[in-house]
Amino acid sequence: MTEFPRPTADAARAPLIATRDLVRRYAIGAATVEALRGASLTIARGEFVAVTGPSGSGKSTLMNILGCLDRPTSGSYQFEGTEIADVDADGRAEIRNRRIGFVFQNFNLLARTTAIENVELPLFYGPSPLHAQHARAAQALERVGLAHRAHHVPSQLSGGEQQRVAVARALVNGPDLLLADEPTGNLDSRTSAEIIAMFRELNRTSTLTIVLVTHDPEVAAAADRSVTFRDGRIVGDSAAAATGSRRSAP
Amino acid sequence: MSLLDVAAAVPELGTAGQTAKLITMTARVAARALWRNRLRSGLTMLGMIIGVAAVIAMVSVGKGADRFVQEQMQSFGTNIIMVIPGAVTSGGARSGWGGASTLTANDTEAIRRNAPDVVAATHSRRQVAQMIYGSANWSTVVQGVTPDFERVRNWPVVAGSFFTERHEKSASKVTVLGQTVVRNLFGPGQDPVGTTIRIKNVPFKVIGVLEAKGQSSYGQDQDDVAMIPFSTAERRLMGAAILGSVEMIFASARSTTAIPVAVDEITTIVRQQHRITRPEDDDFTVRTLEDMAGASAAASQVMGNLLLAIASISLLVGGIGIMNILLVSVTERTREIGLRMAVGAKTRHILLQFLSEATVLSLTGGLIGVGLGLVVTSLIARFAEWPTALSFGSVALAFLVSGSVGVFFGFYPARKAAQLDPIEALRWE
Repeated sequence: MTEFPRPTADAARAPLIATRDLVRRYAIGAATVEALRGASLTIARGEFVAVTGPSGSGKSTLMNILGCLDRPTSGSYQFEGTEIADVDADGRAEIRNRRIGFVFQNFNLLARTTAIENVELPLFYGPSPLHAQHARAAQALERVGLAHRAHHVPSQLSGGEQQRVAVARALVNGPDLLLADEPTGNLDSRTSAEIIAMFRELNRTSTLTIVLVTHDPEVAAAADRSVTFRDGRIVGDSAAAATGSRRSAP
Repeated sequence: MSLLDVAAAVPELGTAGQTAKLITMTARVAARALWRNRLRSGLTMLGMIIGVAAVIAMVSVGKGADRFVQEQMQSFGTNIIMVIPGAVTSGGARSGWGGASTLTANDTEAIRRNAPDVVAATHSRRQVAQMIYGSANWSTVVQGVTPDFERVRNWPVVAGSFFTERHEKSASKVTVLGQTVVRNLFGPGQDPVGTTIRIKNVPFKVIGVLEAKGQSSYGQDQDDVAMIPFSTAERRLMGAAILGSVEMIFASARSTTAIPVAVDEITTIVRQQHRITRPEDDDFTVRTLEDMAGASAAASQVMGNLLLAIASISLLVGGIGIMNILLVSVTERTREIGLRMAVGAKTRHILLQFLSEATVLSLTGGLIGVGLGLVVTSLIARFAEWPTALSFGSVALAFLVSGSVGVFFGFYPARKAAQLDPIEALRWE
């Protein structure tokens, strides 16, 4: 088993995320589908990036690779200066556990399991002692304003509350990166605004790097930077547009 | 500002600590998952429960029967060797059991004196005779034996004493009675020792009462007997065509391990006595309880194999049941597995999770099965009045095997879960 290396001073200087020419192909039966066709993207610590684009444009594939759930067919992905292609499955599990938080469109909470136990879930697989888990989970719930709902099960919570439990779960290990795939897709506009405001606040006060995929222009507008995908390529990047450099060809 | 303040405050666990935590959490999650599907878990365990219970009950009954036979054998005498007249040979017709006896009291004497591994030897003649005491009468087997009989047959008296060499030499008219005879001739509370009874109209003084032996393994009442000195039987009661002719010789070997040697010694001595040079001319047979137990050992071997077959089949069926329900569980919980992987579960964490669910299922089933088996055993002992013997070894083995079955049949579903692709699993509907 490879221990995932702790970030060194070098790693701290490196951008949090640096991808170059990412290509991801899937074999579906006899046919090959190219979900990513050479995506290069650099995200610094503390950025709040919205990834937009039509369905099937490669957004989710990118998120899976950024989240170390999937590996590119070719190209390079460096996370905190570490080439992920060189990290084995256990090492990637550790990165997911300790450096990355996930928020999903459908919340993915365990049914019939209380909010606080859902938040504790990532701690099972980490090195924190059992007795400390409850305190940490409680604190994470407090951070998202749900301390009073700690012992409710998902079916007793509203959609917005469920998504906040999911955010608390993503935060519980103190990650560097929060990946959110359509986090407001199942929420009404008022609740969406609440969740996005919470992301905004987390990004500002804790310098948490956030990358979120969305279809909603309002949500995308809340981010500092917007990256647009089409047909597996990056066709727009507000950061690149601002500096006038590194614009990907359409 | 960091996300959470406690994060930095609590020291991290070492490798051993993490393992301990993981085991604790895994067991807790497994127990909870099974508890949530109580009915399903219970039904899944049923195969295991019934299998283990059946094995425990049947092993107990089998062991009980074995022990009963052993005790019966033991009650027949200590390290006993029997010499009976006649032999079954291929060389023409010969008299077997019950034919005119060629064994004599001299043979017994020779065995006593010349066989170093024989500590005691006696012989007997039997006859059914009517006995009378007061107005009561009873027909029983009168057996003429020598004083060594008490030792050879391991059959002490509970009142009075057994007859001695002196009684034997003088052909005294004394008798030692079995419990059944006492019950039929004497009233309750009456002490038979010192009274005089009449056997075939000859007055005999009762000098002792034998300990109760109960039924023999052939269903005979061993206590329905009256012992008299051999010389008395020969001269005063039964008469003899050839003086000193005996029906059977009993000898007692020095120890259990000395039995085969003693058998050889006895065979040699009796051949010399009878001037037999070729073994196929033997007019006697030397037998041990071992020979007699042979048949029952073969029977219990068959029984044991049958038990093993039943146990294997029921545990196999129980194991397949567990595998089946675990496969269902893996499918149902695909999303949960994907999520656990996304938040940092490694392959072995998922493997361990489902293996432990299988093991908890099978061990719980095994435990309940053992409990049920013990209950059934005690019911059999009480109501069917069969002898049963609890074997701690079989209980431990049943438990161990049920645990192994869980691990074995849980492995395939667990591996299936652990090999899921997290992305696919998270998308599962």
